[in-house]
Amino acid sequence: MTPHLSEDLISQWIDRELDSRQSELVEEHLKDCESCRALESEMSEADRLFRAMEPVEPPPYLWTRIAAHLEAATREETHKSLIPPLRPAWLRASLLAPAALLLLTIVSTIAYVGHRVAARTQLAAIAEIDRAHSALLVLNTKNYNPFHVPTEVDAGANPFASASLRDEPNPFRTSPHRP
Amino acid sequence: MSDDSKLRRLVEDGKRGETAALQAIYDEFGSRIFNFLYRVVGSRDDAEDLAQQTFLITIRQLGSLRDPAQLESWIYRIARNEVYQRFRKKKVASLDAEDVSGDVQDLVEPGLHAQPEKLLLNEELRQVLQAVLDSLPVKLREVFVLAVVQEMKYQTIADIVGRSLLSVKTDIYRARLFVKQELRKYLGNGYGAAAEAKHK
Repeated sequence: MTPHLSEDLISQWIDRELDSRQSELVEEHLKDCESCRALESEMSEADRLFRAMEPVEPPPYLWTRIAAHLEAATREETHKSLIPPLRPAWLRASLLAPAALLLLTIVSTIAYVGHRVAARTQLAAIAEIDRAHSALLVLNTKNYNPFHVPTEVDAGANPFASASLRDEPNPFRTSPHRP
Repeated sequence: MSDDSKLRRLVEDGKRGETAALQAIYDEFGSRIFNFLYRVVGSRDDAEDLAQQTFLITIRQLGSLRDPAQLESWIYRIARNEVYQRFRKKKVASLDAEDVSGDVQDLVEPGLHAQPEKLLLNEELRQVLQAVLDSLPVKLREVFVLAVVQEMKYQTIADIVGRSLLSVKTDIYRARLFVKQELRKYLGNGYGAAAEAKHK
């Protein structure tokens, strides 16, 4: 007689998980082996007891509860879609960066142009001063007399000098001349 | 219309959010999932909460289901994950298969040991059977419920629990041995002690 069947094999046979050849072998053995038949019977009896337990029915309100949760979730999503959501930080940063770059470019351009205009004006003014200074130097060099002593007559050379104006009546004066 | 094409249509309609299709999916699997949860957690209130959570997740994630034929296994996987999360939170059960929590003596009334034939299918026996289930480690309990109570094929169970076929076979066999020993405590020697003695 073949050795006893393993409990593992009997378990699989009960669950109909053996192929046809293995099943035949088990069935043949069970016919002749009272011990294995008793073990199989015990295992099957346990199964039968568990399967005989009345199935528990889910409460009738369970689907209603599930549907209510789903409806609430849908309402919340609809509400959210009506209010523009706050942009996430990464999105805000990605929008802010180009704006900051544009602003920086504009400010830099204005500063650069302003600086260039100021520099040109300054250079033009310096050039004008140089030109005037050169002209004065030429004029003064031509008339320069190191031995000349300024006199009263010299003052008369300038019609606007105070010396020449001293004896002339002032046509704009309203009060009488002082002696 | 075949069951397969009906299921495909339900899933497609469900993905578009049609309430009737979603309710039909619940009607199709709700009872089996609820029973599975109840047998594994042993509490009606917990089973209700877990079933609700399972179907909410199922409906929300239905769009990610590629093969409608896998819907049942997929829902069972979600239910099983919810069970494990619940156990982790409550810390009421060890997930270690080696931790066989043995005796259920204190869970039932002492009078149950006598006259097992009178206990069949009554409320006390139901309590004994549930106590035996509760005493199984979760890893063995889930495969036992799926294989024995819900009569699923081993391959389907392996898909649900995410373990190999060999591992599932071994766990079912170990669960059967454990259940057999526990039942013998309550149903007496007549249940099969003599048979085992002979087998050895």
